[in-house]
Amino acid sequence: MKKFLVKLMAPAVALALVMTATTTATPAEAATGNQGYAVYRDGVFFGYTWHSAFLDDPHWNTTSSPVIHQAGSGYVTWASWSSFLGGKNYVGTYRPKTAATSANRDNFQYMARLLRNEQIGYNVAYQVYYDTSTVGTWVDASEVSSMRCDGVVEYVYEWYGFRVYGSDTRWDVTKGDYWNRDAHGGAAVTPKSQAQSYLTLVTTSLP
Amino acid sequence: MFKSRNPAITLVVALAMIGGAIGIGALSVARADGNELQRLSDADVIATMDKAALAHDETLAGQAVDELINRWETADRNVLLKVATDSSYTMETRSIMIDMLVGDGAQLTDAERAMLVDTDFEPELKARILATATFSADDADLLADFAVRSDIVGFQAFKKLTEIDATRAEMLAHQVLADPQKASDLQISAALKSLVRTGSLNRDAAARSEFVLLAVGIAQDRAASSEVRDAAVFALAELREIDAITALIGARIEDPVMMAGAIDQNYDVLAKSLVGKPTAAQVATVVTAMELHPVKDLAEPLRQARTTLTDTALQNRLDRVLQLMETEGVDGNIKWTEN
Repeated sequence: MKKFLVKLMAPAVALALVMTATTTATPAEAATGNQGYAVYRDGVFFGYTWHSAFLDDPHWNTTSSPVIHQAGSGYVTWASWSSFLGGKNYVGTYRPKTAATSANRDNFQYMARLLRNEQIGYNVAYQVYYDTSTVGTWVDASEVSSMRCDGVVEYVYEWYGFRVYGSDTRWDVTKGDYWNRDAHGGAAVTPKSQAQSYLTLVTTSLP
Repeated sequence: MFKSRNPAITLVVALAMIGGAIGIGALSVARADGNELQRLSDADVIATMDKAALAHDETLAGQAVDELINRWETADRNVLLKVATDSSYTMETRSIMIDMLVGDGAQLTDAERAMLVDTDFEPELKARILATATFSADDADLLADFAVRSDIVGFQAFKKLTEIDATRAEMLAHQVLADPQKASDLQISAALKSLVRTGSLNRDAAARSEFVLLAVGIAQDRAASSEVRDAAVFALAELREIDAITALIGARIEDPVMMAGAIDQNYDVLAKSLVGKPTAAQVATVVTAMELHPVKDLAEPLRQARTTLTDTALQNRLDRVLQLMETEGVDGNIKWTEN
């Protein structure tokens, strides 16, 4: 480990471990634009209408990889706008029904990136899939073995308490439970119904 | 479960022999309904789902998925194994077969081990088995063999090895981090996760200190990929130790989202640091954290801590951040506190 440490620390990493009283931290550049919102395109996506992604940038053209999504193969990943569209049509940007602050949206982005970092594969059947025999009270990102595209949106928002789809007792897809997982499976909810029935439209213009 | 079928669906059911390795009949992708699907064999339901998805028949595909979920624990394992190894099916369908075979605590069988060691079996599906299955201590050698790989199979194997043989996982993690130039991003990411998840760093302050320095360095390294930098921040946040989050806050990495999320993940750790008679430095750390990402739950601990301060400048900062927390703060998320 030390060898790595020497290599990385060569530029002299200066840790300000002790804060001074007068050093006010520049407030985090909290989420701006449409960061932290969900974007959807039309078309069928392995049997489900519409496809969803999570906007990690303020706008669709801020960088070359503005969204995080589960593309249907591979793993939850950053992607270009055109890759997200896949030749189909963008239909809208949506947010949770309960309005989120910029700080909330920072959290959303963090979680989406965490899902990406855990290399989570695609699941046709369930929004979020995990081992119900070992899961704790809550389904940590590290416990998720696979998820659907709309599962990324559902998981991110509901981890932070922003309800999307589901009954009063089973709406939180991050609550570890066999029946909870089951309630978010199959065609009970689809990307299209998730957006149109359980989220609030922000804009149909490009985000 | 999933009884929300549309009763108005026009039913035109046609069984179509689609052949293939298991010679099955599947519902036409033109139209079918849940009742028809219920009468089909497991193999036919699977074939129907696969074909309907490929034909972009969302109604039938959705119904077939629902029917498959109904059979999640009862489907014929032989059929599942055949489809999982049949490349004429989509990867999505084959992945679901693996979930049904090895998910929910089912012990890995020799059949699934054979898939793992089959050099022709797709790496994506091997990774699926590794991510989903429950392994025993007897599988440690198998996992260790895979964990040295630089690809997604290695990543998933590394994570599983961490669960069943912490000592070997830690050894491998140290090897990877000792010579990162030879390691892939996935290997470095897995190594960082592994060292955190064995729990040994929470018990060994000296080792943790070294790890924190290492991880902060990675997080700040502009030459490193975003994959690796993020992995370092996630590892520091997942440690949920005051020295780790303090170091991260002090390092001020450039990505505000990663800073905000890590602070959110450690809101209770920061609150505990204010219990008793915190030092001015400890209070300043929390004030800085709240300036970066305000969490309402820390307001009262900060008010209490304020009474211990003699530094006027810090008191003023604290007062300002309390206002920020009131107007823009988020609620502490108890989900982070589960061990």
